[in-house]
Amino acid sequence: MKACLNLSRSAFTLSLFLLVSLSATMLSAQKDYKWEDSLQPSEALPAKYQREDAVIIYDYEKRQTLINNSLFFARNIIKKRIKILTQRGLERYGKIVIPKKQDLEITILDTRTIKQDGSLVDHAAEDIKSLDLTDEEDIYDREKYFLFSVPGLEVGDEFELVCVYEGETIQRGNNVYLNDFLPILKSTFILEVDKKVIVLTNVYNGMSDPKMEQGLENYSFSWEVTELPGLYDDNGIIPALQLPYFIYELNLNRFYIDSAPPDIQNWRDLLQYVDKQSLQVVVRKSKKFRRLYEEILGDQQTASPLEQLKRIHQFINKDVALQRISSNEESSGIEYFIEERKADYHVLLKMYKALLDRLGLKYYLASCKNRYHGPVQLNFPSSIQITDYTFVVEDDSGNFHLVFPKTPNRQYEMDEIPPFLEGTSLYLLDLQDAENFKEIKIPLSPYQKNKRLHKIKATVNLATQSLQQKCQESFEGAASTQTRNLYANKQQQAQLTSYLEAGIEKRFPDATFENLVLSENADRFPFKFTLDYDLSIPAALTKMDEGIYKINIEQWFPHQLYQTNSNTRLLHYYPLFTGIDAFSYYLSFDQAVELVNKNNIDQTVETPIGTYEVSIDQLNEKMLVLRSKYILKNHEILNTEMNELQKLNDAAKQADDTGIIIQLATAKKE
Amino acid sequence: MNIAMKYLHLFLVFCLLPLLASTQPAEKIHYLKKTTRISVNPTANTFLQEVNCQGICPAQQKEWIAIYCGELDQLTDFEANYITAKGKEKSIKKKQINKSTALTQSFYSGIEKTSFFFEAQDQAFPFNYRYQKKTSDLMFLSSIALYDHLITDTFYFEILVPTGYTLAYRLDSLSAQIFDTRQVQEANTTRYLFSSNAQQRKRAPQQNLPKIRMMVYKNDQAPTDFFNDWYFNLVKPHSNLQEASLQEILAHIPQTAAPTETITAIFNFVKEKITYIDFENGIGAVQPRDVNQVLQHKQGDCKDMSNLLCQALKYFGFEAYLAISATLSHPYDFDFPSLASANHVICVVKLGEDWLFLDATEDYGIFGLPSRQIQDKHVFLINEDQGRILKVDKVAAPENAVFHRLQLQQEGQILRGKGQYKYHGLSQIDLQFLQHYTSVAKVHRYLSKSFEQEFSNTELSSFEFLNSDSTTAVNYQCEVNKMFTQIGQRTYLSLDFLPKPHQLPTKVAEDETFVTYESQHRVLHLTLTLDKAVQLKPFEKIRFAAEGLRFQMDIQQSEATKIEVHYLYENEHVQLAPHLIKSYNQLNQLIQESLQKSIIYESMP
Repeated sequence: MKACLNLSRSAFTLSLFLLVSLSATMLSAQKDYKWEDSLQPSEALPAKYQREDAVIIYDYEKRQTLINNSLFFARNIIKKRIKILTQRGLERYGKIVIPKKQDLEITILDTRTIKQDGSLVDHAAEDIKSLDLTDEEDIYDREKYFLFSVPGLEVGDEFELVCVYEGETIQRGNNVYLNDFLPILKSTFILEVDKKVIVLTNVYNGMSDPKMEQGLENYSFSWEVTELPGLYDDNGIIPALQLPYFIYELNLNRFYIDSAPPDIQNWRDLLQYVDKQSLQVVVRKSKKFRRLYEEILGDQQTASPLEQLKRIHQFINKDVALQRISSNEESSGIEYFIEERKADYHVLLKMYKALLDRLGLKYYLASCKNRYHGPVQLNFPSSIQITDYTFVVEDDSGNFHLVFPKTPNRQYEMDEIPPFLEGTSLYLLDLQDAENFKEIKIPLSPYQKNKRLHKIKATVNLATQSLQQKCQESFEGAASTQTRNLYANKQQQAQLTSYLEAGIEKRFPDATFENLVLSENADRFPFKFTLDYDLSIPAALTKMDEGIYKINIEQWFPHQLYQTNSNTRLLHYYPLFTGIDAFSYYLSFDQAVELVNKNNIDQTVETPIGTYEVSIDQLNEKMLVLRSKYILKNHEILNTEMNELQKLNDAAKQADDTGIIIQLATAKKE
Repeated sequence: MNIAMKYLHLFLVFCLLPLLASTQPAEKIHYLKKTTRISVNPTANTFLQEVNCQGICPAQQKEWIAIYCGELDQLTDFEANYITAKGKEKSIKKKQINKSTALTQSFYSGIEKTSFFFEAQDQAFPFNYRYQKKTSDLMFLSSIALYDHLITDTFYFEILVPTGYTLAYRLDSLSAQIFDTRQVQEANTTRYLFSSNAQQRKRAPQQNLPKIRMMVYKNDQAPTDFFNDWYFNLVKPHSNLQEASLQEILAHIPQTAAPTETITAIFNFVKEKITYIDFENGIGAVQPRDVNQVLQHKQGDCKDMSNLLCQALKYFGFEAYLAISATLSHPYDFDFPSLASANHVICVVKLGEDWLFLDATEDYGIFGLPSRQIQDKHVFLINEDQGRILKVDKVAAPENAVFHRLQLQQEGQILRGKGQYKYHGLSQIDLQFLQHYTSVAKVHRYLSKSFEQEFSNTELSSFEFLNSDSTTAVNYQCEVNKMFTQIGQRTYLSLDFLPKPHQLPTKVAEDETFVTYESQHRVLHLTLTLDKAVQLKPFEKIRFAAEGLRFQMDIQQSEATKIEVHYLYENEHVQLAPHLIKSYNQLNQLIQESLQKSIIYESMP
C-alpha cells in the first residue's frame, strides 16, 4: 500500500552521469562490492559550496580495453562520492540513473553511506532494487536506464557509488568531459589499454595532457582535475566550446586479418571507409528494382531530375517505415526493403544510395556533426565526431540540394536544413570520384527567416461580453521545421485537433475550439505551414462602469520563450534557432469605442540580444489592433547576458496582466 | 476436448463476423465475452482463476494483449488462438509471448507483464485466449473488476466457495446498477455468480472502473474479526523491536518528557529518519517489513513507517494501533473489510480520551492534526482481540486559515508596500516543506516565482519567514505598476493585481470527484493609501454561499485617502463530490469576475 498524496516526495530525478549509451541490456545479477578502504567523512566543504544542494566529493572512471585469449574485453569502473546538502539535493541526486549499454552488462552496482554521525552503512547489493518509472519520471526509458534510490539516504549524508560494466566488446573511443551536473571537488579519468592497441588522443580547451604509465601488458592514460563547477540543468549548451575535454580513439589496424586495415589519414579516407564498410548496396533482383524505381517516380518519369529527386525523397519520408531489421532479412537485396517499405538507419542510407545511383545526378555522401556536439576537430578524423550522415545532390548548375534522411521523430523536405546543422560544416565525398571531396558551411539562419505569426480577427460582442476569434497560425523556416514535425506525428486530423484543443483549454477553459484546417504545408523554402481555427470565448469582458468595459487579455500571448536558468548558468546559451514570434489581434466592435489605457499596455524592452514589444492602437472608431512581438536575434547568448534574456521573458509573460479598457463613444458624449 | 470442439466457438464467431462488422465499429478491439471462474481453496490458502476471453480484432490493427501477475501469482495453461484470413485457426506460439516488468506507481511492485499480440489482418478476425492464475493468499481475492468495460459485451464471474466459508461482498452505487448477482447453494459449495452486460452498463456512468469489493471468511467468525486476525498475524512476526533498535530510538527521545512530547519525539524520529520508498511486491504489498530492518535501512513505505512508530510507542507504554485506511484519492472508504477498501496504513494512538492519527509519510505534517490524505475517512484499527473502525474527522476550514494582510501606498502611478501571509493548521505544510527544501537563496527565488504567478503587474521582494509553534508567516515587499486608468473625472484601479484566493483548478468536470486535501479559509485585507483625498464610488458587495462554499468581497473607504478591500473565501470540503462541482465552478467564475472589477473613485476638490 502506499500514500497517495506525498507532495514532498514527488521527486524529479536527474542523471548523475553524462548519458553515453543507448541500447538496452538487462541488468544481470549484481555482486556485492568489496570496498577497498574504510569510508571517512569528508572534511568540511569550502564556503563556496554551502549554497549547493549536493556536491560530488570525487568522481572516478576507469575504462579498460584488455585482450584476453585473443578476445577484446571492456570494463568500465565508475565510482562517485556525493554529499547531500539539502532536501532538494536528496530528491534530485539521491536517485541514480545508470545508462544500460548495448554490449556491456552491469556486473557490480553497490553503494555505501556515511551518516552525519560518522557511522557507516554498507548496503547489500540486493537492496538496490530497480526503480519502476512513474509518469513524472518517464523521461528515462526503463529499457535504456537502470534507476535506483540509495537506501536510507538523508540530508547531510554522503554516499559512495560503484558501478562496473563488463563485456566482450571494444569501446572504440569517445569525447570525454570531466564536468557533471553537480560541482566536483576532484575528477579522475583513466584509460587503460592493452599494449597491442594504439591509442589516439587529443586534448582541447586547456585540458591538461594525460599522465601516461606503462605496466607489463597495459598502458594507461590518466587525467585529473579539481574543483570543477556544476552544469546543473543548463540547456542549449555546446560544452565543446567552453569546457576542457579530450577525444580518444583506439586504433585497431594491426588486428585486421582478412582485409587490409583502413589507412585513415583524413576525413576523405574516413568517409570512403564508412561507405565501403557499411553502405555497400546489394541489388539481388535488378528487374524488380527497376520496376520499383519506376513505381516510385510514378507520373514524374519525364519530370526534371530535381523533381524526380524530390519524389524519391518524399517516397522514403512518407512510405518507408523505420524499424528494426531482423537478422534473416539483413542479407536481402535493397529491392526487398523498397518493396516492403521498411528500413533501419543503415538500410535507409543504402536505399538513398541505390535510388540516387539510378537517378544519375551527381551526389555526395556527407558527414554531419550536430552543432551541440561542438565544431569538427579536423586534426582528429574519427567516426566518433560524426553524428549523422546525409546526401547532398549537385544539380547541373552546380547548386547543392540536401536530402536529409528521416529519423523516428523527424522528417525533412528536400533542401530543408535541420536546425541543429546550422552553423556547422558538412564534409562531402563524391562516391564516384574520391578526389572530389569538399566542405560546405551551413550558415546560421537569420532571425528574420524563422517566424511564428498569429493573426487573430476578434469580434467583440459587448452585449454578451464574449469574443469570436478567427485564428491563423503560420510557421516559416526553422520554426516550421520544428512545429511541422511535431504536428506531423499527430497522424490524423482528429489527433491534431485534440492536441491543439488541449492547449487551448489550458489557456481558455471555457472556450470552444472548432473548424481546424491545415491550410498550407509547403515543401519549398520557407516551408510555410499554416493552421486556421475558430475560437469562441465567453465571459471575456467585464463591465467596469456605465459604458466602460475591460477586455481580459490573460493568456493571449503564449509566446514560445527561450527559457533558461539564468541564476546558476555556467555555460553560454545557444538557442536551436533565433526568430520572431508575434501575435496580432484585430479587435472589431459593433459600435464606436475609444481606447482609454494605451499607456498602461504599451511597452518596449530592447536588449542587445533581442526585443519584446507589446502595443495597442486604435485603427478606426470600431477597430483596435493589439500586437505582441518577441524577437531573439543572437545565436549565442553569453552566460553574463542571461539577465537580458530574462528581461525579455519577464516582459512577455507579464504583458497580459493589464486588460484593454474601452469606453463607448456614446457614453463619452454623455 | 477434441480439436473440432475446441475451435467451434471461433468458427461460429467467424460466421457471424460480417453481421458484427456491420454493427461494431472496427477501430477498437472488441471483447464479446470475458469469463472468470474462481475456485477458492481455504485449506491451501489459495484461489485459482480460470480466465477465458473471446473477441474480435479490428482490421489492419496489431493488437497487444497483456496479463499482469504479482509475486503471489502463478500463471499457467496459457493459450491464445485466432482465425486467419483463409479461415484457418492458429495459435500464439510460446516464443511470441513476452515477459517484462510492468510499470506501476510504486517504487518496486514486482508486477510482471506477460504480453503477446495478434498480427494485423486485412479483415477483422475472431480470437480467443485463456489462462489460469493461482494466487497464494486468499485475502488477495479482494475485488472483481470490469477491466476493458468500455469494449466488452459481457462479463461473467463465478466464485466457488466451499462449505464452512462465506464470500462477503459489497457493491457500490455504480456496481449495484450494472451487476447481476446470484448465489447458488450446492452440496459442498456455494456458487456466487456476478454478471454484467453492455446494456446494463449503458444505464450507469462509467468513468471509473466498476468493481465489487469482497473477502472470503470463515463462517464461525465475523468478517471484521477475520480480517483483523489475518492482518494482525501478518504484522506480528515483523513487529519485535530488538535491543539495538530500541537504543537507537531511545537516543532520540527526551528522558523526562511529558506523554505528548514523547509521542511527538517518536513521530518526528520516524518521520525524519525513515525515507519513504514504497515496495509493493507480493505479500510485501500489505505486510510491513521487519521493524528492525526498516530502522537499519532507514527506508520504508506507509506500513513500514507506521508499524515502526506503533511498536516504538507501545514500548513507551502508549495504547497504539496499526490502522488500515483509505486515502482521499482512493475510490473507497474502509467501510467493509477487504483489501480493496484500503490503500494506506497509519498509526493511531490513544492519549487520554483523544485519538491521535499519526501518518509519518507526510514530511511536514502538523502534530495533533491528521495528515491531509486521511481526513474524513475511516480507519480500521488492528488489535490482538478484535479490530475497530474509527472515523477521522477533517480539519475544519477556520483551523486552516490563511490571513493575507497587504498595505499599499500610492506613489504616482505606482503602488508600493508590504504584505504578510499567515498560515494556520494544515495550510502551513507546503510552506514548511519549501523552507527546508533547499538553500535559503533558492527558497526565496521559488517563493518569488510562486507568488508572482498569483499577482499581476506586481514585483515581490525581501521575503522573510516567521515560524511559531502554531503558525507560519511570510513577509514580503511589493510594487504594483500600471493599474490606474483615468477616464474623465474618475480613476479606475483594476483589482486584478490581487492574488486569487486559491490555486486549485478553477474549472472541474461536473462528473468528477475532485480532491482538495484541505478545507480552506482565506482572508485578504488590503489597505490602500492614496496620494490625495478621494470619493469612492460605492461598491456593490459580493456574496456567495452554497453547500460549504463561500466568497465575500467588499470595498470601503475608511478615511479620505484610505480604501479598504476585503475578501473571504471558504471551502469546507476536502473532497468535492460531483453534485458539488457545479457550485464550485460557479464560485470560481464569480471570483474571476470579482477580481476583474475596479476600485472607482473621484478626486475630492
